[in-house]
Formats: sequence, structure tokens, C-alpha cells
Amino acid sequence: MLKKILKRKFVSSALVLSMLFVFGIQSGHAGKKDDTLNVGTKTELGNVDKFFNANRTGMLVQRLFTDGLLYTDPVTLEIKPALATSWKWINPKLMEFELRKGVKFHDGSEMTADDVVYTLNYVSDPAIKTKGSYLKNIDHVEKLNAFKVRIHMKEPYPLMPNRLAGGISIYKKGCYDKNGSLSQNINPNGTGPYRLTKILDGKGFAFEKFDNYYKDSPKGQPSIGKIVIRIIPEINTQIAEVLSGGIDWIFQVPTDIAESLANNPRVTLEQAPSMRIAFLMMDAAGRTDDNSPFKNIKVRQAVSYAVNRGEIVKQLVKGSSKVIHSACKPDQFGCTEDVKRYEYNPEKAKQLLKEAGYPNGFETKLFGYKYRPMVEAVMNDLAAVGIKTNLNWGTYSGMRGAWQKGKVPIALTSWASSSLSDVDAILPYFYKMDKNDLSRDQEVSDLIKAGGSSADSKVRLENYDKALKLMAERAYWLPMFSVGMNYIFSNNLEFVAPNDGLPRLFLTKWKK
Amino acid sequence: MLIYTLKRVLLALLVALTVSILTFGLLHLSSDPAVALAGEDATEEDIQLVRVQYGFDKPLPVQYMTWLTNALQGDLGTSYYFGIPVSTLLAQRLPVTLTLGSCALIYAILFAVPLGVLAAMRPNTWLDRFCLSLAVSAQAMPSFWFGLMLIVVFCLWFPLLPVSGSDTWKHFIMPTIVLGTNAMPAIMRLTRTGMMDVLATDYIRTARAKGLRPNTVLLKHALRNAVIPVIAVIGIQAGYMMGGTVIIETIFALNGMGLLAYESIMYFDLACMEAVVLLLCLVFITTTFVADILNAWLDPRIRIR
Repeated sequence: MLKKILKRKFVSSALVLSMLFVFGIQSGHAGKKDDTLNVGTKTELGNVDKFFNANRTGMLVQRLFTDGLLYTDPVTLEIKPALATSWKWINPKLMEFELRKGVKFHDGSEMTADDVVYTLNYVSDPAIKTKGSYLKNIDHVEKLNAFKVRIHMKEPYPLMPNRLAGGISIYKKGCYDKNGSLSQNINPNGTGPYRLTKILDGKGFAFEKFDNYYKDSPKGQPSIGKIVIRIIPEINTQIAEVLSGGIDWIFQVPTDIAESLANNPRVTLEQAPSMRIAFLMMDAAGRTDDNSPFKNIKVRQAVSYAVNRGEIVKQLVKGSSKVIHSACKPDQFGCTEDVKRYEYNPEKAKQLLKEAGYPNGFETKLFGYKYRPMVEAVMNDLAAVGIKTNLNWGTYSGMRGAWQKGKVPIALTSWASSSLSDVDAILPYFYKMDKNDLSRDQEVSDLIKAGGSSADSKVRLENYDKALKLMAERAYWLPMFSVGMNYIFSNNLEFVAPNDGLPRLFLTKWKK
Repeated sequence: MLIYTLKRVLLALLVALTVSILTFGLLHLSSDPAVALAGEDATEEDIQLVRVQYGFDKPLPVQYMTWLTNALQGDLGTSYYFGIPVSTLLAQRLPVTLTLGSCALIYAILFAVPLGVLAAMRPNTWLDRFCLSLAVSAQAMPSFWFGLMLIVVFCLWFPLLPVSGSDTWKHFIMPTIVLGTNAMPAIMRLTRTGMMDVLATDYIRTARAKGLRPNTVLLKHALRNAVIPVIAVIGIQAGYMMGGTVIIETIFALNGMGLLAYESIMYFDLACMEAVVLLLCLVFITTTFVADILNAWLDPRIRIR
């Protein structure tokens, strides 16, 4: 079955790729000659300002031309000071920051507390259509002096340092006054290592190295002179551009295509992890039906034993992906893999189903929206122990709408935690006793809430540890695999592959 | 002729209204727009925020009437994704699509009509069979596959053309060939049939008997009459081409309206999707309408019927 799935998935790309290799390719990489890194991405941005867009290309662009108060190291995932030189928690709802002196905006002006206060107060205003409800948890930002600020939060939010090291940029005071949310599209101004020089409507973005970038930046100093990001929606076209020398760097390349290209001497394949995990979610609360088989813990455990995750990862997911055992990415803060594990054991699954009163299995609907071959493999494994699943395939929004209405008995879904290395970026969204919660376990929900309400690391770790252990014992989810990211780039480039799935293009260099 | 034209205009308006209702209804029923707009990792609070901010919490008929009233006043709304007026977006993207569509149509006519005439002149010969094979192949070839094959040949094996983009005229060559090739078979086959019918008529026999030169008979007498149904087909093909640009522009990263349609679907930008579908529908209606009027003008029997 796995072989069949593999074959089908591979055929479309193999046709194009095989023609390239059989007949050879004429190419020459032009980027290095004119010191321009040409980047291909599939997603266009409606707004270059990350506060007003919600996609990965936006994160990539944002990190080039803006900085935040803090910065996440792409390799160690350690949070480092950036525009702030130091920070501390005053209480679980209040943080204080010392700002760095001598940091210049691209227009030459100096960054001060006024800019931080202005930016954060603007984007946290409930009336402003910014993306990310976490911004609205900022009550207000207070200026203590020209280089010291305090962030007051409405609710305790231990994830705030991660957010400040991620999607929260600092802009010049007054930048939104004239053109509102489109201000950065019209007059982009940040403190980042690259200046955004041009927005090519529907085509991409052009950047130039910022010569006055502050010296002690944790991002280092930019090396490549220019960066041009082009929007190319079709992955096969992106690959043709890379092979013909038109593009130097692409990401989010499907593993089968990426591995086919790995042997090409003109390109390098880098496979690195991301924060995304895939998991099977089961209707333990019986929201679909009061007699739902998934209300029975033995059925959920049977599902967990029935799915051969090791083989699915080895044969289908591949790359840097790994089987996971807990409901989080193992390197996230608060994540523990020291939980009950369900190794592949179809006989045990059958036995558990028998004990649960389903000796001949049962029939149910399985929802999915991506990872089709993996979903089909899961269906096949479940069928082998007697659980017949009818696939309900659709969009993410369609699936999420259905599960919120209590119509999803079992689903294979995924979550990227906004690339944040903390379990608070995943657990509260699925275990809050609300319509997203398929298990409705008060004990688990309380533990997660306690973990997310404290700024004390020890308290947080203890609560998350207990919650994750309970979730595994009660088999609410079957954690499937971590999702890797494939980067293809010209072999004359040095690229630092991140461990959180967020490429930092300002770290790229030409090979000497 | 005036009554005929007015009837066609009324029909066209009804079609446009029906399409707008269907589009609006289907888009809203297919998925929860707030969930789609908020993005994959959105929390419940994010989704609720979007729902209120964009007015998705109001009843569907109210949302539709608001949209229709604004659209009739020329306000197609603001793109949820791009944050600028949809009409501005369309104005930015339409020239690329019109350039591509015009080039493809010219390319299709330039190849299809002569080939159709040639096939009609030598029916059931190797030439006719060759033209038939071309037509069948062009019809059967999926445009995304053909596009990728052209990229492999003309950009990788023989690097003569740029792979993607819309900066120069060279960027339009491959998309034109792909889009035009898809429209060729219908025009070619209809030209052949029309020509064969006309060539068998008495007046052509008379013209030949008068001793007119074969080219004069063919081009002046036969083609003029044979081309009438072809005009109707060209009108329909022009409409299909606008739809075809979605795939072609996506493959070749041409930032036209087709790519905008693709992006709107990907980002579930309802305002943009509604406008694009309506505009495509209007283009289709207009081209069909112009073809109908042209046909009626060329052939009085049509307007009498």
C-alpha cells in the first residue's frame, strides 16, 4: 500500500525531473556575479508588514527589514537581546526592557522608547485589524525614559518573550499615522539588516544591505549586497528557475522533489526541522455522537497501537521528520517525550477493540486537509485492525469549521506553533474546554492553564509535564510526526538552516 | 436588429446577476471565510476577531445585498488579503491578462484558420489527417503539462527564453503558445467544416466555372462565408482563454488576473474572488455578445430567427 501511495505521489514531479536529467541542463548561476540573492517563494504578500499578514513569506520578509526587541537564534532557539539589551519580568503581567542605544532606522533616525511605545500601542489597539490575537493581550506600553519601557499585559502571558523575538517588529513613531495599515507598503522603514527598496506589485520585493546596521546585532552583519524575492506559485517552475540559474534559493520544497534534486551538482539540499507537528485527533468527548466509539479509552489506545508511524515517516514523510510521542514538538519548552508510548502493535490494537466491545471493528469518518499519502496510510493501518474509515477530504478551514461544530470523529491535522519554541503555542488551543477541544478533560485543561499563567519556569514545566503525561495515557491524540522543511539552493551559497522552520536570509553568504 | 440587440443585452445582464448570486453563495457556503482568512495557526480568538472585523457575523443575504449595492456603484470592496481596493488590484493585473489573451487569440487564429482552410482544400489526404492530429493533440494536451514541457525545452535544454515573470515580451512567448494552442482545435475544425460546406455550394462552382483564379475563389468567395460560424467560436474561445489564464499565469508567474484569481482562492480573499469571477463572467458575456451581434450583422437570417 505504501509503495502504491509513493508511486502515485511521485509520478507528476518525476516526469518533469526525469526529462531534465536525461537530456541535461544548460545553466549558469547569475546571482553571485552581481551580488544579488534571487529568492523564489510561492506566496504573495498583501502587506509587507507582518502585523497585517499571516504567512511564512511574511515572516521571511519581516526578519530582513525589521528587528524586534528580542531575537530567536535559528540554531539554538535561544532568545537573545536585539533592540532591547536586557529584559525582566516584574510580575506575570508586566515586563521591563532596557533599549539599545545607537540603533538607526533605515531613514537615518535613531530608535528610542517612543518608537517602541508607538508601535506596540498601535498594533495592540483592538480597533486595528492586526493578525494575531496575542497582540491584543498587550494592555499598553509605558515609557520610563528614552531607553526604557514596560509592557503591561491584560492576562499573564509567559510566551511574550518568544512573541517579541518572533513576529513583533518595531517601527518608527508616527509611521501608521498617514497611511494606516498600508504604511509599510508605501514607505517601508525598519531597523533590520536589509532595506526594503522596492515592492514589485504581484511580482516580489527587492532589498539592499543596510550599511548602518547596528554592530552588536544578534543577527550579525549582512553579507550579500542585494536580495530579490520573486513570487513563483508553482513549485515545478521554481525548480526550473533554480536549475536554469534564475533563482538561487527556494524553500518549502516537497520531500520527493527535493530528494530527486539532491544529486544535481548545481544545487544543495538542506533538510531541517520546523515547529510543525502532525497528529491524529480523536473525539474523546463524544461531540459527534454520544455513542461515539472514541469516547472509549480502549478504542483510542487501539488506534494508537494500530498506526505504523515509524514506517509512515520512513517511507512517506522522510527528510528530517521524526516520529513523536507527545502532543508537542520535542524541542519546545515544556515538551516532554517521557510519556506513555504506543509502539506499532496491530494485535494489541485488535485485542483492545475486542475489550472495548468492537470485536469486528467499526466504521467512521476520517477528516484530512494535507499529507494525503500519510492520511491514506493511516486509513490502511486502521482498516487492518477493523476500523473502516471514510475519508472526508477538504480545506483546512472546512475541516476546522466541522470540528468546531462537533462533526469530526477523527482527523489528521497539524500545527506549526507560529514557529515558537514553547508548548504554550500549541496546547492551550486544543485543550481549553471550548469548541476546539475534542477531549474536554477539565484536569488536563486546568494543568495547561496553570502552566500558561505563570512566568516561573519551574511551575510551568511541572504543569505541562503532568498534562502531557495524562494526554498520552488517555490517548486523546496520536502524535504522528514532526514536519521537516526542505531548502534547495545554489551550490555557491552558504545557508544556515533554522531549527524552527523560519529561514533567516540575512545569514546567507556566497561561498568564497 | 435593435430589438435583437436589446434582447441579448437583457439576457447578458440576467446571466451576470445569476453568476454573482451563485458565486457569492457558493463561496460563503464552501468554507468559513473567517477561519480561512485567519490562517492555519489561528486561535479561536483570532478567528472571532476576523469574523467581526470583516462583517462575516451578519446574515448572508445582508452581506450579499451590501456587496451588490456597492458593486453597482463601482465599489467592488477592499481585498481582504491585499488591503487595497479590488478595482485597483484589477486595474494593476488586467493589462497583463489582456496582453496574454490577445496574443494567444491572434496566435490561435493565425495558425488555426490557414490550417483549417488547408485541410478543407485537401479533405481526407495526409494533409487533412495531419491537421486533424494536430487538433486532437492540442485539445488533449493539459496546459499545465504543455507549459512545463516548454520550460524544460526552451529554458533548460536550450536556454532561449526566461522561465517565468512578465518583465519583457520574451516572457509572453511560452504562455501565448500554451494558451493559444488550447484554443486552436475548435477554430481549426470549424474553419475546415465551414470551408468544406461552402466549397461544395453552387456559387463556388459558378465562380470556378467563370475561370476565377483558385486563390480568389478560396479567399474572396469561400472564406468570407465560411468564417461566420468561426467568429462565434472565436468569441467563446476568447472567454475560455480568460479562464485558462488562471493555470497559465500560475505556471509562468505572470502577475495578471489569472494569477490573482489563483491567489484569491488560495488566501480565500472573498472580495477579490467575487470580483474576479464577475469580471471573467462579464468578459465571457461580452465576447459572446459581440460575436452574436457580429454574426447577426453578417448573416441577416440570424436576426430574423
